[in-house]
Amino acid sequence: MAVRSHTRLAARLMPLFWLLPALTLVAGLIYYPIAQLFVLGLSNIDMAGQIVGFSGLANLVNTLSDPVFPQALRNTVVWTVSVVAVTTLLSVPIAVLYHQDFPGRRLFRAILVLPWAASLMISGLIWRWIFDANYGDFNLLLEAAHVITHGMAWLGTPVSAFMAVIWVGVFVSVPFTTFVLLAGLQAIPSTLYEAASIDGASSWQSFWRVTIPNLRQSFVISTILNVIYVFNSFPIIWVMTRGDPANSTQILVTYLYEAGFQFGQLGEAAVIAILSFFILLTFGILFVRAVRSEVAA
Amino acid sequence: MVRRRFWQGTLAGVAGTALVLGTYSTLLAAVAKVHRQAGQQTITFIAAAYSTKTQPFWEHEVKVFEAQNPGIHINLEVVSWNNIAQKVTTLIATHQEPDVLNINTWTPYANSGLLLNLNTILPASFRNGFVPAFLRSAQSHGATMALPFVSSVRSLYYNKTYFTKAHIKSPPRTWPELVADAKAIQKAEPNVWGLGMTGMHLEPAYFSYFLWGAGGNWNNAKNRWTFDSRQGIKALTFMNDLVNKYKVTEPNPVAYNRDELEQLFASGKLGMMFTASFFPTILKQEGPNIKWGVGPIPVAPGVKPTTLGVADYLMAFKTTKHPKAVAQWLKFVFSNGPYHTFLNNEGLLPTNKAQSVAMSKESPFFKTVISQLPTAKFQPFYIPTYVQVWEDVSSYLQEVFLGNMTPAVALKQAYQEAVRIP
Repeated sequence: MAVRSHTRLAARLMPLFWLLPALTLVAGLIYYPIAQLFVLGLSNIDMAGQIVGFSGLANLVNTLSDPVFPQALRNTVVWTVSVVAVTTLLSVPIAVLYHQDFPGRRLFRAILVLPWAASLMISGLIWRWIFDANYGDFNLLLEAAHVITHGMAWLGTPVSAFMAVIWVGVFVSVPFTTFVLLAGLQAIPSTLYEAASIDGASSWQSFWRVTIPNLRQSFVISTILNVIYVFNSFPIIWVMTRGDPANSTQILVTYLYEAGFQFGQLGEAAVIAILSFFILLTFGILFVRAVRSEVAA
Repeated sequence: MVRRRFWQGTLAGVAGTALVLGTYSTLLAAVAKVHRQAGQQTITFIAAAYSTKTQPFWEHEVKVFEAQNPGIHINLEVVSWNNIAQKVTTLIATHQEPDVLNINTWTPYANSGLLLNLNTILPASFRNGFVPAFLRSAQSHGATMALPFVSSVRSLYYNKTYFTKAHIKSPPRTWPELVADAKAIQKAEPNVWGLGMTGMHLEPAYFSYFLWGAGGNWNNAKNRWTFDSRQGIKALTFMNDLVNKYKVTEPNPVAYNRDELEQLFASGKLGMMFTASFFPTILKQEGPNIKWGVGPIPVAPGVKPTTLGVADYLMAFKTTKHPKAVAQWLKFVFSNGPYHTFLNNEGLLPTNKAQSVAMSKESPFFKTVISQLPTAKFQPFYIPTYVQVWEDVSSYLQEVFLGNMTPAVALKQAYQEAVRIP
């Protein structure tokens, strides 16, 4: 009897033993850093990065009273919404096009992957040169077309700089979004289109009544993932403008990096990270709920 | 069938166990390795990458040093300027301080009580070999917290060809002369901008030239911020006038950092610019055909000219287990051979007397700039929040250049942010 219960206990503990390395990894790499983030946010940290005491909500108060913070928050919203919206709008026709059977389709699909495959740092750097005031290709192109007479510093004025970084954000997000939508398109059964055409639907009607509704799941996935990626995207803006001019392209991540690693204020950087985390979490929950309730209705 | 399943199960079990044990043993091996290394005289040296020549230079010198000092091993890591501050912050936060560090500031580390007072490991005779102005910039209450490693001074560099064309005899010494010369260059060469100006982040020196040139200062003797003074407003007003009133700079300074201005100068698009004494080394490669001259940084009439000096430092952390090896290494770095090679490679100026004398004899340019070293004025990096303050100031500078704010309002707001920083 005793032997039996002993083996049963061992059998019950066995899975835990097998899972231990994975659990350790997850705890060490995900939960521990998050916990540490909260510790940092509540601590007084000196310029060399050492915790010298508990500071309560001082970091939060400091962050919220910095005039750059609301600006960065506003910019983050504009940046995320613009990039994700424009990306999605551009990706639908591209995905539909790539879903057609045309000669060289595989080649074109491969080409579309390229901006996605290149590192964001490299893309940002190349676009920075393209928008350069003196040697940039963008200026050369516009001059050749007689749109402008002399080079413009596109990254030097607030509005044009923001539009430039948004464009690059779109450029690198389109491939992923297109492939998600393409996968969605391929999952739509052809019988639906046959049924629609028998009912006399035009191709335009079948696009709006069959394609778009059936892409709902793909839209949900691409929107959620894109919002998370774009919201947290650091390299493009850092490489192209560093938040300049006059903080007009400063978003929360670049602001966080500046606070943490240029000003040595790790406590405030941690607070910004926590706030970003909650903003994304709230968005995720609300978005999924909205989508679900729509399905239910 | 059953038999086969049995074998499959056993195989999976063996593989799984191996995997799990493998994970644990890798961890154990890592711990053991750390222990083994602790037994040796290993010192970690983190150095900033000044150029592509930096890494090969240190690799070579480490080999030479290790051959001369058996028993000491140098664990070298050369890190780019973009990443080094972040890297060091991370290392400190995780208690992996290097033994010796080469970076542009020592104050945050000293303020956190992390640095070794070098008076305890280096003799006075060695310390007194440094140019006093530089050694003082590395001391706090008599304690030597770092060694000034390399230096540079800022001056006005001008294109000689354009000066001749515009009939300018000598470089401008005052603000009115600066404006007049820049205008003359633009008149003689319509495709050239008279003066390069940067409004980008990370270039606090540009405001310093004008602030000091107006007779102002970043801070007073009590380390209170004073950059929003009457002189500060005068300085920023003049900077803005250069851009927006006299229009003698490139049209949008906010889009240019100093490196980009140097590129413009090297391609003959600028008549004059302010930059560091290592610029001729860069120009040799980037614009070998440009004929250049050097002059002092112009000031407002009646103000005494100053030179902006910049120094980078070497420091040792208290956590080092081998202070003697650290001292050996520091002495080796400043010994004539390696030190001279490094300065030559990077176009930087010495901080010690021996090399100052030696290099002054090498070229008239070195003679001029080295003679300015003892009177060089430094930015207040000893105030820990200075980095953040000038970031704020440059943001407001951009607002002024973009026409969104007047100089007085911009500096007042920058001041309010500066005093708010905890």
